[in-house]
Amino acid sequence: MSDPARWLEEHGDYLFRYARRRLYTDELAEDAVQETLLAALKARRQFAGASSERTWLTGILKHKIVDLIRIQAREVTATAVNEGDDPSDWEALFDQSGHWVESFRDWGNPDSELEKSRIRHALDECFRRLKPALAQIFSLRELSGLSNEDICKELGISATNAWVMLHRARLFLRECLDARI
Amino acid sequence: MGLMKNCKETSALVTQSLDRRLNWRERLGMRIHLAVCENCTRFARQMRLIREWLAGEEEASQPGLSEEGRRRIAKKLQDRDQV
Repeated sequence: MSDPARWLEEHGDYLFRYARRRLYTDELAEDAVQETLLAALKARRQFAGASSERTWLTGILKHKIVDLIRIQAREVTATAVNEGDDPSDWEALFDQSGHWVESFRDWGNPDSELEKSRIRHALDECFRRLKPALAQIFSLRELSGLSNEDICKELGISATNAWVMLHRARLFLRECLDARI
Repeated sequence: MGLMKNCKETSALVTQSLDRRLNWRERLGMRIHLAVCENCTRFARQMRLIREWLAGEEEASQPGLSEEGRRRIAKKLQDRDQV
């Protein structure tokens, strides 16, 4: 049987990094790790050893992350709906005939590991600058891999609203990253 | 909507294609526009790159648990383990 006293030491940093990428504050990431280890402690007899300990813990963590986002989202739902409905900053990207106002740069082909690592750090930083409501939905979609259908259920929003918010999150990330590439 | 799309409509289809399967009319309309619009082609590529970069592994160069955080969690675990 695996030893709970060692979990934090051996997997704590890994779990924290995993959570930190998907949640937008360090406090939430710490909560997720704590909830995961407490749940694991309760269920430790069910750990069959069929997968590695880390895989087992990460599986629990994935659920905890979605739970935490759902709880957080409830708190900001009122503003989220308004944010999703407000098209002003998006409309400004196009002229009257629906053409882009701005010409995009070519991002090239960053192929060295160093360069990719730098970009991933920049992307993490941009993710953390998203408004919470947008960060939540973007995280569920791109970092937890939920379908749009499941996201609508988790957050209690319409498909159109989900798409508008994801679109806004992606436009923001594109622009934020563009300045760092 | 017809098959001739402008950039605004095309970019909307590009991001929707990341989340659902477009129907053939949408797909065709998007492709026709992308074939003639360099800016939308760059936009579409940037959207794909963002997804690709996000899919990367966790990196050890990112910050781990803080000392206080580690202590807080250790204490919780210990308290719970004794119950």
